[in-house]
Amino acid sequence: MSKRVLIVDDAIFMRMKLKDILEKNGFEVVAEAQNGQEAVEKYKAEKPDLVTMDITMPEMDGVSALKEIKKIKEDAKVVMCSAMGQQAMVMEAIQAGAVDFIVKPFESERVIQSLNKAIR
Amino acid sequence: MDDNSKYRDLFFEETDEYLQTLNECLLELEKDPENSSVLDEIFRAAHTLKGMAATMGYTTMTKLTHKMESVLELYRNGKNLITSDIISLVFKCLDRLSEIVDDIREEKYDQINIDDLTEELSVVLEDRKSDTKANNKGESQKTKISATEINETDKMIINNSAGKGYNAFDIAVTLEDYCLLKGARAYLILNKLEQNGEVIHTDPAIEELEDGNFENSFSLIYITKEKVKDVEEMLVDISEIKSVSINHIILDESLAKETIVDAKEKTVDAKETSVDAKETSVDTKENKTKKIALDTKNNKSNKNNDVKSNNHHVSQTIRVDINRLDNFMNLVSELVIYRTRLENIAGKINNNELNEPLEQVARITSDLQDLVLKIRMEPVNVVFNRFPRMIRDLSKQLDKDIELVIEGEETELDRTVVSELGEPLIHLIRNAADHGVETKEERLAKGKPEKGIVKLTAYQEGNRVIIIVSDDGKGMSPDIIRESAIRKGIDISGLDEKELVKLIFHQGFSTVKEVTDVSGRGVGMDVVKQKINSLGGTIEVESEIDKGTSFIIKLPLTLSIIQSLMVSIGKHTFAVPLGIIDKVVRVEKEEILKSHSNEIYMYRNKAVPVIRVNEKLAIEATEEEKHIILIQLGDKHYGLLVDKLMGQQEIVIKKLTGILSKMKEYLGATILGNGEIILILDASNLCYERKVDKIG
Repeated sequence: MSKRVLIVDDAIFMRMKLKDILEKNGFEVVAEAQNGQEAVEKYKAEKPDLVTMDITMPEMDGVSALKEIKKIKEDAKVVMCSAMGQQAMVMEAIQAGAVDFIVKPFESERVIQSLNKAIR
Repeated sequence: MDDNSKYRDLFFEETDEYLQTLNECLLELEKDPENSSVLDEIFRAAHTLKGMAATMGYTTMTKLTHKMESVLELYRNGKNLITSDIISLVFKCLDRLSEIVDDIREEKYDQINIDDLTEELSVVLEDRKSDTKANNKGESQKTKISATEINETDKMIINNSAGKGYNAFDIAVTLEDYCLLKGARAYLILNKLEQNGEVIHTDPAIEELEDGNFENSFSLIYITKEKVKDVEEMLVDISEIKSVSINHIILDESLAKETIVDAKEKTVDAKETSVDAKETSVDTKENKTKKIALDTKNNKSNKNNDVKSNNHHVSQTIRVDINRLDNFMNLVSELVIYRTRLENIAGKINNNELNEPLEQVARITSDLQDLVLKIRMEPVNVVFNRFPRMIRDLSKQLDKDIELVIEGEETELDRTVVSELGEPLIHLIRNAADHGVETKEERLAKGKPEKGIVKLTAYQEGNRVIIIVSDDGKGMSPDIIRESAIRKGIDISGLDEKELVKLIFHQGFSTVKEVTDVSGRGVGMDVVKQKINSLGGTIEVESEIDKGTSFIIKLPLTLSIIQSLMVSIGKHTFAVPLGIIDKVVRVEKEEILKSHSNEIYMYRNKAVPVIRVNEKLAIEATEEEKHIILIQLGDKHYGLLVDKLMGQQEIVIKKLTGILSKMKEYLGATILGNGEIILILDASNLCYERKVDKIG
């Protein structure tokens, strides 16, 4: 059975791109969220196997959303999406329990490798 | 080159530091050739030096450090023990490097020939290479770090935990070439590992790792209850890792025990030093705080050392240009002037609302003043640290077995005093090694241990710092000194043995019959004495035949604050540094005698030239009381004629700047509590000027 993924990013373009990559590689994108608040709600509703979480977003940023999600499900698998230069945020996310992080610009192969490893 | 010019200062500062580290470590390695962590440090320092030199474009220096590094590399894998020949060779390289650095400092680039050294280094390289090739045929290289490179503390941890069912792994991780945010990736890896164990060491250091300052691979030591397989599994789940190699570390039991004993010895040492520091404490409150500061400083430096050995570079200090500190000091003093003025005004207005904040300002400014004085302090270690190397070289040169014992190296002194101290101390230590300590045969014949001891001790006593240079050698014989003095035509009538020994400070006095390479050129002790005096200090000597000789140097804590005698001449008040004053006497007019062109005063049956300070400074004196301040310069006395004595006071010296700095009559100025500015007389200059006048 294909794995169910929630994509969180404030940019539509990024969500499209990621969705495209994921669907081509046999993942099922069950929901998308454009900010942290929405991400937490969608997570509760869908209980996806995996979340890709952008770090900088309006309303609630990715790290806070990650923490909220971790409260809902302790072993939730969240992969952070970050741009270069956000090292401190990434580290904070790792501290908070993110399983991995991927760095923009995305390359299909790497994204898939990371998600596959995260889900094992 | 232009581009690098702004880094020059930093380059020299750091280079000096690295050379010092190299010297120290090399000495340590000589004592303990198996100490691989010291060798590592040497290697690292050499490597850094090479990098720095290359960046600055200093080719000779780069070449030499490169060769040196290659040679050190040979011994780094722990297979070949470093020999004393190699150590001597590296010492030679260090000396040459210092020469090169001095050369560059003086902007003469690359004029020093290093061919002989590179030749020697090449020979070693060639020899070793063929050796190792023969020995290591077919042996493949293992992981990047081997157990021999694990430092002592880590070894201890590994051993302690091994007993409790923990395993230690040496893990080398290589990241994918395309990996971005390497720091975060490394952090992720460490984080993951720490969930099931503990990472006790990383190479590069953890901060470097987190900042992503590494090529694609790094290594670490990991302690966990998990098995190799489990560790592997944990890491496999992380993306962007190219390869991982995991090695189980098993340390030799016996080695471990040794380590623990070593560590214990170290703590005992530390205790001893703190006891020393305590012994020096005096009852005044100021000193108590000083002591505490000293102790914490001790701890801190110990901690620093630990940190260093763990490869973490936590910077707790910053470098400051000394001129900025002087500036800071000046500004603070100026603040004090205006504070005083404000206080005067407030006193007139008598406004309570104003008085309270003013009191605060007063307190803060004096705290500031204390602080800046403290900032200028430097541990004597800065000069002491070059002596172990010197003693090593001297003992080889003189074929004596000499051990240098240093105590209280953390004692602090004003920076200017510390930096001026090197020269006289070198002289004293050389003398101790050359004339003091006997040859091995002589020592054995006297029933003394073969190894002679030269001891360097520093401690604080009140607002002075005492430095003692002592040896357990033959001591100074009053008879020989008497003989020598007579031969040199020095009048020794009425001198007892103690006073005879003091003659060594006399100009042109040296008891050695032949001039050796090391010391004894006839100039010397008098120069040492002058130097110490010019720093506001004193030097004494104590000697006992066949027991040894001690030179006791007493120095003021700082040159910025001095005790002074306030005197008035006419309507003006001046300060005279107390340090140089021998005696103050009240004189009647009749006691000042006229010789044909000068005035003299009879002091201890000797004619002392009298200098009328008011004439020197072209001010009108009062006709009432007169005092003569007797000062001693070298072995001559002079008398400064002043009017009234106003009392003794501690003053902060402010240097005169601009045109005023050319006024040789003054050392500087000071600001009194009431805001009044007082000039400080440079007594020695007043007296020497007089000499010149006489000739002219």
